[in-house]
Amino acid sequence: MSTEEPFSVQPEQTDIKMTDSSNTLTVPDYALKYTLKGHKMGVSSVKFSPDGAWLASCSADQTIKIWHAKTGKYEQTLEGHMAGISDIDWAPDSLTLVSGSDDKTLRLWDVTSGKMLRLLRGHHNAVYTVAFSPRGNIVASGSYDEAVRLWDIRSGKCMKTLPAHGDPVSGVHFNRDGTMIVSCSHDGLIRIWDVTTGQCLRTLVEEDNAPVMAVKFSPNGKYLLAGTKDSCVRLWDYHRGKCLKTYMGHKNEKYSIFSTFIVANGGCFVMAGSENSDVFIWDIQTKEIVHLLVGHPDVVLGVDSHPTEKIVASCGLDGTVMVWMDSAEGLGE
Amino acid sequence: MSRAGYADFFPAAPSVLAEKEKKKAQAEKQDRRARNVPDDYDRESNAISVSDLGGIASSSCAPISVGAPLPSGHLVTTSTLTPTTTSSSPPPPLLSPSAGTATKGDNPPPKLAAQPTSTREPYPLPPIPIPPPPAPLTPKGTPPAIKSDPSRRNWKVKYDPFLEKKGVPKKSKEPILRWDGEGITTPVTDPRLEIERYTHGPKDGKKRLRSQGLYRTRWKWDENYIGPGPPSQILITGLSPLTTETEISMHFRPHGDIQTLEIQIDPATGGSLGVCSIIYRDSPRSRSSAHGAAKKAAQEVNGSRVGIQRVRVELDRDGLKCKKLTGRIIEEKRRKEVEAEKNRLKQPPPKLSYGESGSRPRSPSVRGNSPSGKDSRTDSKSDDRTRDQHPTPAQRPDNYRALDHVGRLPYIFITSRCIPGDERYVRHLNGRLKNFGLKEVLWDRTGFYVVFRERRDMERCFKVCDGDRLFSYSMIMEKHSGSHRSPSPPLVARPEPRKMGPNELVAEATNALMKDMKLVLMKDLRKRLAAPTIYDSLEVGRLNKRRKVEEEELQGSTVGSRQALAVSSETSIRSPTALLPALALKSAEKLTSVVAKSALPKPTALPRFKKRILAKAEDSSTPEASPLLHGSRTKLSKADARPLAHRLNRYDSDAGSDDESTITENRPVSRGSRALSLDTGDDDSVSVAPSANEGYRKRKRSVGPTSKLRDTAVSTDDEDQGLEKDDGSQGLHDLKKPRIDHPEPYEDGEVFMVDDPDEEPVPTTPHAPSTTTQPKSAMKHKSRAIESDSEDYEDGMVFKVRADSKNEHHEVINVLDDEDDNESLEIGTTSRATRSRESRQKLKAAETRINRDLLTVPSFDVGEEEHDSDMAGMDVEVSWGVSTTEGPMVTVQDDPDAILDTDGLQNLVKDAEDFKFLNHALAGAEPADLGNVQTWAYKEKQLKVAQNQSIVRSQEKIEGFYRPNPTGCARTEGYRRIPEAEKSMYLPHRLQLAAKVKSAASTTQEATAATATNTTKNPSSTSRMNRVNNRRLVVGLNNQKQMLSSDADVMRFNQLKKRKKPVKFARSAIHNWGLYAMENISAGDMIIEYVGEIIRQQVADMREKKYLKSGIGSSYLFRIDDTTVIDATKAGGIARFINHSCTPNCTAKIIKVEGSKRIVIYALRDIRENEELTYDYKFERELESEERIPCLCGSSGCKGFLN
Repeated sequence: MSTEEPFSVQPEQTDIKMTDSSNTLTVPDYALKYTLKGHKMGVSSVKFSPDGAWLASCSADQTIKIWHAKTGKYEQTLEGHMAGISDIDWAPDSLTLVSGSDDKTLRLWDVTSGKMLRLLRGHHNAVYTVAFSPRGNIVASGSYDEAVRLWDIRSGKCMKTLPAHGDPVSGVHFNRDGTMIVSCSHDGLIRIWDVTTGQCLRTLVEEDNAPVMAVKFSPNGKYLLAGTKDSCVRLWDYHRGKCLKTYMGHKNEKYSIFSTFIVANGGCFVMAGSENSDVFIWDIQTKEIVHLLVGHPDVVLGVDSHPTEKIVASCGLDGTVMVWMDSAEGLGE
Repeated sequence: MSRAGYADFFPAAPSVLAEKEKKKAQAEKQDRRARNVPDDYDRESNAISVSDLGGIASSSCAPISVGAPLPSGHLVTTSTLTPTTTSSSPPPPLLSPSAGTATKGDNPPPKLAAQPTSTREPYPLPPIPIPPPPAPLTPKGTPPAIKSDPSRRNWKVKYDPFLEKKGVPKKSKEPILRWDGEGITTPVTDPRLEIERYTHGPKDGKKRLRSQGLYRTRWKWDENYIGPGPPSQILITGLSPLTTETEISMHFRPHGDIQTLEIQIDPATGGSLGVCSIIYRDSPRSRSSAHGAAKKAAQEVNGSRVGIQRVRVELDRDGLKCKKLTGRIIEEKRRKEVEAEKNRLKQPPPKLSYGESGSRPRSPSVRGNSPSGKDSRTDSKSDDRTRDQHPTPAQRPDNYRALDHVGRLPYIFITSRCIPGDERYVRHLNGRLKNFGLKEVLWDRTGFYVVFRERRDMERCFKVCDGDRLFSYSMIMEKHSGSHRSPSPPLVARPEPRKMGPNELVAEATNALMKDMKLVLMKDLRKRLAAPTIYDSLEVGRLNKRRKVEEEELQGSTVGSRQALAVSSETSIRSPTALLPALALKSAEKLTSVVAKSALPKPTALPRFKKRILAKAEDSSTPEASPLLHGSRTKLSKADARPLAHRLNRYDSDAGSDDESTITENRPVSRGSRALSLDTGDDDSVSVAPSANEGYRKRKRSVGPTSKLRDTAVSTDDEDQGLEKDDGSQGLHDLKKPRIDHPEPYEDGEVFMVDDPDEEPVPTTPHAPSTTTQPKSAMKHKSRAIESDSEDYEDGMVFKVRADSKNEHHEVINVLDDEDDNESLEIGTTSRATRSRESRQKLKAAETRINRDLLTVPSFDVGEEEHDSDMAGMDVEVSWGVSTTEGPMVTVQDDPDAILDTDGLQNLVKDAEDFKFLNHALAGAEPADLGNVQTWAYKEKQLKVAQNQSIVRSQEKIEGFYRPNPTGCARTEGYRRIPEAEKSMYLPHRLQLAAKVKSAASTTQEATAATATNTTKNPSSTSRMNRVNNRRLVVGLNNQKQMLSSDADVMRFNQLKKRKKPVKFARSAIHNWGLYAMENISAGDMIIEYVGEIIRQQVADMREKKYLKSGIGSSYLFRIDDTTVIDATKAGGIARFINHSCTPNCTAKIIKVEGSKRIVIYALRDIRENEELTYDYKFERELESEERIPCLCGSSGCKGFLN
């Protein structure tokens, strides 16, 4: 993701002025391009590789599948987990993939060979979420055992266990320089941690304490995007500990649904899945729903946007991965 | 005011200007006479007159407050004078005075005199109503033009009876009015004119304001006010440090709502500084402003009593005064402390000064006889001065004589022999005797002169205080009545301060040194001479010898071998009584009692001595070693010279008799024994030696359960660890009996058992023959152990194994004989001892059946080891031990899981014999047609390999708790609330406790089941709400009521408010988070206060519901009493993290501090660092409720549930 994109959010009170707001912002006109079928069970997460070449999807059927991001061609399946996989993440080099599974392990995969590189054991319950450090040396994982663990990739050992939460950790994410981790949990807390010391730097808590289902740093590392069980996606300014925007309209009352940023057309948007089987895209400033991707027959769990192209992917309980492309761009293919 | 303020700030604003114009026009209309006076000017003079009247003037239409310290008219004036803002011509100087004088003679209109005073509204002073609108700029609402119009002059109220408070005697019934200008005799002058050169110094043709002497602008505070608000904080000083917050608030609450009340405390001690600051707040209810309250408080309370002391109250705008004051007080305190510290350091040791004083004149009376050369009064004056100038004694003239200053007054002399002549004591004396009306206390080298004004006082003082103690000195007084006093002794008569000659100095120094050295010497004597001597006197060897005789007498009737045993064995220390047949004394306590009977000085030390004796005996047993040992004695004695108490202490800990401790204990003992052994040395009979020797060895060995292999191989090395000094002798010894060390790993348990009374019955037990098998079995076991990897044996195992051995005792009697033979072959001297020991051992073995296991097992050991050591002497023994006891060795392990496929069979059939058997076994089976057998086998194997691989993969299981999600993975499963019970199945910190809880729960389940059947409880009363209502109430409240306001607690609370124990919170095994001690906390200490919002019951109920709804699972509500609950959920201290435990280490007490009830957590017992703090939540039991909260405390007394 090009992090140098203009990205700024004004607090809710002020009028919205993007840095280049001269031309009206339009969200890419995403249209369903491919439907990737192959998983036998619900697909829990889908991620584009940082170089934009691959699309990885993981599923409850204990497999990870790699697809060509642009053509939607099936590349290979990574097998080895003994239980369903809840989350995957790409290493910054786009060659390695980490996956976290219900079998309490994390596995590192070499995508080119399809072999497992490392098995990271230590969690006491299902691994719920994983994140690769942008530096590529650390993997963070959150689990049902309420802890966040930091793993050293080289040694395959657990470096730190952060006694983070009082409920399953539903999301972890590194900021862009890999110095901080954000974790969120069903206990309603969002915590920001210092990677080197393992110290909790900040705790964000929302008034009604709704379980937080997913959390993500903004590409510039200034904000947090957190989806909560009360069907809201919130944009936090974690420096000030303040919620800036609340995006609503979708339904999220049960699942840990990913939400992500789309940086396209010089603007920034927020995308999230929904339990009413649509993918919602909001304008980050106006909080309006600017686009609705309809296609999934069931709950949409994971969404991700391509780092460079105007492509987004979504996956859901129906076991399919859908790739959506800007209609203009998609024509060329 | 807002308008006025606006106008002032924006004088050029169009609206303001327009207003001004309008007003001016009006004024001009009213003014018949053409008049050039600007309104403002007039107003100003008016304002002055108002202020003269004491500010009673009408408040109705005054937007600018009269109460403001300055007439705000000035402000207007300034703006008026600003050239740009005024539209009128420059004001003519001194207009107002002229106006005043002009109106002076006028009479008040009769209409006004008749005016009724019924209204409290200001009198309609301006007789002619001013046309609206009331000029907003007018400060007093007074029409500007009145002054100049005689018919419209002002009435002023000088006194209004209606405005007076009740109870104040009224000056008059009618309001006292004053006609404008009346009563002012001197012309009213513009105060500005008093400013030097005010009217001079024109600049640009305009008058300029001088900054000097002008009033400062003060604005009334309102919501538009920009600057800091009016002071709402007051500072109270002069409080007694004991005054409590409640007391203060009691005094200051009536004046307004108190926002904060803070008694300043010393950060170091936590004591009150006697300074308190109170911030008032606006209270909409009573309509009082914070400032008003503060002012009122400052006015009314200032100088009144709070508590016992008069306090000063002053306004303190930003708390700066308070800060400054506290800073000063604290600094002062510090300084005093430092000074005190210095003084203490400066103070010479009293001993010395006392010694010096010995050389001084005994009393002044001696000198009193000699005539004084000077007039004492003049002298006293000059000297007083000098004294004042040089208060320190060092600077006083050497020949200063206090007596000269006493004058003719009666005085009491206290010689410096009694109290060292030091100025410090003057103060103390002063304090001590101040009740006797003393005038002053003077001092010089000779002593103190307590001067009285009256002779009577002096007499009284003498009567009362003579001989009293002042600190450690006693005041021996001599009274002198001044009138009879003879003139002061001449200076010459006074002896010179003693100057020590070099000889004396040396003598003094020598004395001091001698004293020190004596001390050291005594210490040394105690340590190095006395201690060992005492040891010696307690020495078993001595006693041994003495008792030997007695024992022999006692045992004379018993078998000879037994007698030998008694002599040779280390039991010799035992008191004769212990040897009596009453020897069912098996327990340790009995041992001590026995020991006590034996009349040894240190009963607890006994077991040790016994051990030592063994060692000693051992040493003495090797005659060639003794000279060497003698040589090393001196060296050793040093190491041995530990204080006796030290060793005894160590023994005490040893008495705990667990194996590890004995291990550590042994070394010093063996050392000591070695040293001691030399005393008795050769005297001991040789026959004693072997067994004792062995005992020693054992002891020594047990010091480090190092590998047996090493022991046997390089026994000298092992010696080195403990006893470097006497390697020579020991080495010899080792060589002689190299294998004796074998049984070492078994020793640990035995070490203290050697002393055990178990052994005592030996001589008296009659049924020796019946138990002959016992030692053998033990021995058998032993030998087996040796053969196998016996070095792996650990202490715990030893016992177990021995227990086995007990069961195994059958057959093999001849072994014993064999062994004996070997022994005798090996070392001639030992044979007898071993034999005797063996027999004893048999007896013991018999005993063991009766005795408790723990005690008996070690008694085996003695024997066993002996055998072992003997066996170890020759390798042959090892082999026989095994072969006799074991059946044929199992060479092939029968694996029940073994699959009889090709591999399995190949594994199983090892040789031709096996093959034969296999053939035999398969004889009945019909051969199948396999084609090429080789190919078949190959295929089979390949198949198996393939299968195995797949099997391996599938066999990889998910360890630990695994709860498969029906949809495949956690994310596709979605959110669900995880019950605590499930959490405790996988959360690591809870897993640790799982086992404990389980065991605890199993016991409590029965208990609860039992109670559940007994109690018929109303199931409807078991809701969560009910629990909330009764939270922490039912059980504890009554107890706590009793504890309430116990003074000690309050004191402790106050003390520790600043020093709460360092605690931290971390994940807890019991519940989410827990509180942990960061240092050791002793029982009874206050740990932390449970802080939170104090809410009423109803609020608590509401909140409870709300929290429950919003998913806050933990409850942090803590009930104080029936109506009050502390809620620490959203705002509270970390005390809320303290978890429940059924066997807690803390307790929560409700104490009353300064009128409010506080919850304070105290330590119930000593708490170690990093231990989790817990207390009993005391929930009401809800035995049949479905919502019982499982308790995860994991303690042994866990009841299973919180409620």
